[in-house]
Amino acid sequence: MEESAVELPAIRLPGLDDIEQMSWQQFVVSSTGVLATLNRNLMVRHRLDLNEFRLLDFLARSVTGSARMGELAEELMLLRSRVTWMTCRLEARGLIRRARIPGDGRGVRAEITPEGRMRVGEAVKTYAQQVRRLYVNQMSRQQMLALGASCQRINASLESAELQARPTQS
Amino acid sequence: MERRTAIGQQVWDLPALDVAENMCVQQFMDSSLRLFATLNDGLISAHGLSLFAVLVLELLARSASGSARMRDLAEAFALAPSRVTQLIDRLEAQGLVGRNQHPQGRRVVLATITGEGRARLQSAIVTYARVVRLNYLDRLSRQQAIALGDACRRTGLPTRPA
Repeated sequence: MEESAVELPAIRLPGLDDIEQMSWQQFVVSSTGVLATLNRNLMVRHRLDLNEFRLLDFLARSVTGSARMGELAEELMLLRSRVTWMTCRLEARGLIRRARIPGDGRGVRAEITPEGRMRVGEAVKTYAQQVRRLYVNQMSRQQMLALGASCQRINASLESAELQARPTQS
Repeated sequence: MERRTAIGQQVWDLPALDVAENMCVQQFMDSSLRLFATLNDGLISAHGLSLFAVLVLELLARSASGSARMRDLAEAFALAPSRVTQLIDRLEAQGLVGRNQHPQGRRVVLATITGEGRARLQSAIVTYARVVRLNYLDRLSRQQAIALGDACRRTGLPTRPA
């Protein structure tokens, strides 16, 4: 099977013309490839999958080094149950600590440990190296900026749709 | 290594990337993760098929013989063979895919889409297209859609593990 050729799928997406279909297909092939390659490199070199990396990185960057489960779920675009499970695993590995939030019966925070900071500090180098190889070095700055801007428009509308779907979350 | 700080706090920076590069990559990854999550939710609730299942069925349906080697599927999605095996097990249990031996290779297993698999895929594709229209194409001008596809075409595709 051809490894890298982007082909128009034989099954057409109804209502999309050739150009629309091509644009979407290229986006899918590219982003799945980039995400999968990042994931694999982080796993092989640091035993962190992409979501674990993003979680630790988010904590490392936050002012307090910690976040509530709900915040993490939102940031990582994952279900809360998945985040709970991930934080338990990361806690067992000594990379974060989980603690009840005083005065909030069910609230739990995750806080990054010094060990976690060290691990994510190393992983961030692999991440950057791979992002540069797969993505930044492949196009002009102008193209990259245009790509970022288009993706931002897509994000903005999906984010507002998510917010509307969860009007009660504080 | 360059370090940028803002208001006393380290900005999300990668040792080798500048701020604009970081932001663009972040937007690219986020939009991709969000779109896939939205597609996945829509497909599961309307058709009981995950996005991954639909992508695999589509790949099979697209091939001349309606089939692919399990190994090639794993490689196409840059996934561990066990993930593909699990999915094919589930699709086989639903009658959407069959397993058979490769005519030339004794130990090579092929996954082949069934007639029912094609029918389920067709209806899932309608949902898929609607989500793409609403959340991707409607957000972009025609020029932007072309430019985005072109930039994506340049990104490195998964290479074999180093």
